[in-house]
Amino acid sequence: MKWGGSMNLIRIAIFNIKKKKSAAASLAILILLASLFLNIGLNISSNVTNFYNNKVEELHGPHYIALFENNNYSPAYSDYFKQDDRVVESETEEVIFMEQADWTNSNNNSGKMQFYTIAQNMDRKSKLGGYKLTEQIDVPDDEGIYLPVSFKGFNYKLGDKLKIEYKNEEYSYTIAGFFETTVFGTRTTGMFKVYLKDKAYENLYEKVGGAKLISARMKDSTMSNFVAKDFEKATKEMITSTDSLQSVLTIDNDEFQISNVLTAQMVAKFLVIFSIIIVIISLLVVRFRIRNDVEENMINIGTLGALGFKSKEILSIYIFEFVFIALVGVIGGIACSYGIMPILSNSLTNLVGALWINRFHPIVDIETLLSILILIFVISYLCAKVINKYPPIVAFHGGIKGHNFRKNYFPLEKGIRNIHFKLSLKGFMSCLHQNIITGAIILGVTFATVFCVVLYTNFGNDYAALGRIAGVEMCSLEIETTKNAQYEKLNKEIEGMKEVRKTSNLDSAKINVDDIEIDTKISDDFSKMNTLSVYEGKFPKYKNEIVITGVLAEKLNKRIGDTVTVRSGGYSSKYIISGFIQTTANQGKASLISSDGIKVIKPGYSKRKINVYLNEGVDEQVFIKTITDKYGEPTSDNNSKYETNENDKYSRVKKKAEEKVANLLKLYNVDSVEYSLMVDGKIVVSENSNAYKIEKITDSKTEMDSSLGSIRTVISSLSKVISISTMLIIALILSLMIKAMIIKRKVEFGTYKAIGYTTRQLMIQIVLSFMPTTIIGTILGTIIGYISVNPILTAGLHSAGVSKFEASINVMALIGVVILIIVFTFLVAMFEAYKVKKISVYELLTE
Amino acid sequence: MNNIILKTDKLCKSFSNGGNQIHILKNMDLEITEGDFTIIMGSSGSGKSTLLYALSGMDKPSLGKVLFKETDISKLNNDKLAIFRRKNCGFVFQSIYLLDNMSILDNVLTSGLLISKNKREIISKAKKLLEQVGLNKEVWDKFPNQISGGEAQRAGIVRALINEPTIIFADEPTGALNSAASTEVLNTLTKINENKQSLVMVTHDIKTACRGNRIIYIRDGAVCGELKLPFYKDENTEFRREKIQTFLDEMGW
Repeated sequence: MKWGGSMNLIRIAIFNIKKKKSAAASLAILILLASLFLNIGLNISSNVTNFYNNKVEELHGPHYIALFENNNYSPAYSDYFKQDDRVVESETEEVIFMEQADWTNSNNNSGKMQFYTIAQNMDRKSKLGGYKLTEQIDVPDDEGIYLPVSFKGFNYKLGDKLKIEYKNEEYSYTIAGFFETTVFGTRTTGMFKVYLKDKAYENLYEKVGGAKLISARMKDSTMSNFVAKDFEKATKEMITSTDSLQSVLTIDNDEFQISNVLTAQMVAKFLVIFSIIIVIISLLVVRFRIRNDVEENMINIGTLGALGFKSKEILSIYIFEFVFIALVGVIGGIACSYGIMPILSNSLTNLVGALWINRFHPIVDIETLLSILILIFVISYLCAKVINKYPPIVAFHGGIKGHNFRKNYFPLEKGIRNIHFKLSLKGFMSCLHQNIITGAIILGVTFATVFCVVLYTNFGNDYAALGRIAGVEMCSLEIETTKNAQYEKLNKEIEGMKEVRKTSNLDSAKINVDDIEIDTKISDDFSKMNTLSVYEGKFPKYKNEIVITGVLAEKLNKRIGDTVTVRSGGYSSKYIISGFIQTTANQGKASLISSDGIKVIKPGYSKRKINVYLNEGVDEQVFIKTITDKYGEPTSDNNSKYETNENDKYSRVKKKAEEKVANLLKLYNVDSVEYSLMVDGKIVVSENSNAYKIEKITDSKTEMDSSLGSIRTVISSLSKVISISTMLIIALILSLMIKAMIIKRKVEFGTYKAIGYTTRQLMIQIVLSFMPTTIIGTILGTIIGYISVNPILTAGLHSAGVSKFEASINVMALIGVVILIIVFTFLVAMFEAYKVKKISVYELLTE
Repeated sequence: MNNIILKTDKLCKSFSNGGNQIHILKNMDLEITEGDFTIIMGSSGSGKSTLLYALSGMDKPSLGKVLFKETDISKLNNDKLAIFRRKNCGFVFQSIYLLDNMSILDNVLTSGLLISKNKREIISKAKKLLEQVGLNKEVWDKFPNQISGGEAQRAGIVRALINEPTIIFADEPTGALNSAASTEVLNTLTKINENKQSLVMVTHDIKTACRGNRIIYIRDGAVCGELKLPFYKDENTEFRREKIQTFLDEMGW
């Protein structure tokens, strides 16, 4: 084909596009939507991990962190890192650690939020701080606080007044600046770090006390996990007690990376999946258009053939036409994605904790462009190939007779009387091919909508599903008793309170399973759990049973029924694997053991934690007040009453005193006692015995809201965007199909009108002819969505440690989706079919 | 004297074409009498089909009135016109326009069941009419593309007749047919006119025009001549042809 010939073909293709402008525009919009979602999805998924890793380097952030309360820290820990060859830099800093501090911004109504908070001294200029200020204002040094940039997602602004409540004390600050960081900068770890100038830091330190933060950078960040394991192994040898490493927390680079990028990756994957659905819909539309066009323009095709055009050249016209439309759509979609990314940047910044800078991403753009264009090219070629069957003379005789019916479907002389219904069924059969495509498209968009509904109900509205995949037990409150408190008595009292629906026991400890250090949860009865669940097998009931994660099982090459060796301190025993759980924490490694089971390797174990599940409508804070009124303030809070600069010594003494008094109460079965203890002339303790039952109360629900709120916001927004897009797609497709149908059947409709059918009757005929496929497509799409949503989400979240995702699927919501789509389709079809009214019979017959 | 069933009063129809007004019918006054087989003739572009569609309510006039038994149908909206047509008019088209996604019988019933509440009666009537025009049982279940042009057009005539319309309009019904098929169709139309069915037909063919008893010639959107003839009989075809030819020559056709 010579260039002049190609130009001629392109000219004809453009002429064809102009002839059917609105159909071309509809297809271009579909492809634009597909490209938009695909480009954004690919951009985020291919860049977010690199973005994070580059930020770690840019900000010189740590690859490993360990946080210790001062009384649990040993200088040997810091020395370890100095000696390890894999570590190029390490640092130990004094920081302030506040467990479950309550944050309130009096300048907005984001409400009270609860976080674990680390406060660091900005004036100290740590080597491995891993942060950079992005904006700041002038605020006096004693009241300025600097927050991670993700706080802007909570609507926090410079100059806002912030109140932090911790252990019955309030600390007021003014937001002086925001910073980006790769460490404790996002909600997903549940912990935030803040910076204070020296004066403010010292004021807070005086009241709260300190903790030790060890940070380390490796030659190769991928070594962080190995360094972490070796450190934990080594420190066990340094500790004399039977317990494992007494850190508040340790996190390595892999865990930081996962926690910071997981949500963004998940969102990106959903966008890509949705874009694939739209691409498939677009391909179906192209197929329909080409087949329809070949049928309608058989004479023109014959004319071209008669004029000397080869079949290949006529085929090329179709390819040029649709590739050109696709090109316009893809370029539009890519351009729109650049326009939309700045809006998404804020969300991405909030998710990752560092300023997301939008850059030109030519490789992703090319991937989007080529993948869609190639698909359109292929489908156009395959569909237009049918032209080869029709040389001119065959084409002139209308080669494809779309209505070579051998069967007169729904004969009017038989069956139900209603002629309009029968005629609509006849219309349905006469455009069966088109209706099948419409049905397939409606199936696709229904599937996408179902997906969104499931996402929204499981991630955007309620945390149960998140709890199941995170391996977390969701309850209202967690009460930790003191070591020697009468657990069973206290549990029974709390369970009997009118506000409480039920209680359960769930402790945690560190154990070693086949030489892998993991966290384990311990309970006397796992069947009482709400969200913590096994996805295969059963909970451990007997003392030789253990449940491990699927990820750990894969690593150890174990199945249900196999045994593992569990060690703690100097004890070890074999346990049979009774089931599998999953968790996104600790790289997917965790276990469950019964209370009897843990005592085999931890003889000193005693139950400590009570999960409290409150009745509907009971406020957590109000209930906490009820508990503290009855049992006194938690002992962990009581430290604050007597804080001094030498708090380490006093807290150790106080702890010992508490244990002795509690033991005394237990030993002599005394109900209550009043006492006080003086050390160095200062009263360290002065309480009654109620103060020794509860060590800590955690508002789990509020904590969960705080840490998972960002995921909820993102998923909720994503669901809305996709749902609106699916409605738009339905409207576009119906507009295209009905318009094509009216044009194709215009003589038929003209004849009906001439015979005496009214416009309304024809509209109903048109709409009813679409409804069978709409109903079938919607129902099938819902069923397929229902069946496949869990496998798809499992595959999508596998990298986060999820072995089996089990979304709770609200059947009523799905029925609602079916009804909504059917009603929406009906209304749009009626609206489009109304166009029949505007055409006069005369025009229809003489056009 | 037969009743006037259709009358126009200063009927005008114009179209705009790129900003210019084109007047097709100009102040036309015309009466159609019951029982007549009226033929409308004229040169190409004279407005024959436009007149036919205006008379039948398929198209609305720009000015003037079309009175059907004293009812001004030019004032009716599209839906009311559709109802008017189904009750009072039948149509036979040049391109036949049978619905190609259903059988011949269903094509007839599509019209019949629109009005009739009695399904059995209308089915029986449809079959009887089809037989009367020479379409027997073997044809009823066939599709339009499976029968000849003549057979298809006769089915079209039955479709037009099924609801016993006051008047049947035919727009060049033999235009797409060969000679033998044309004769079949014309015979059918003549036969139904013998049963006092009023017919208005547009044609440019003298042989076809011979079947009418009243020839109207239009030129430049107005009636410029009329020829009255006795009702058609086989034996006086040649006489009729000469009369019509002379008339048309006078009209300047």
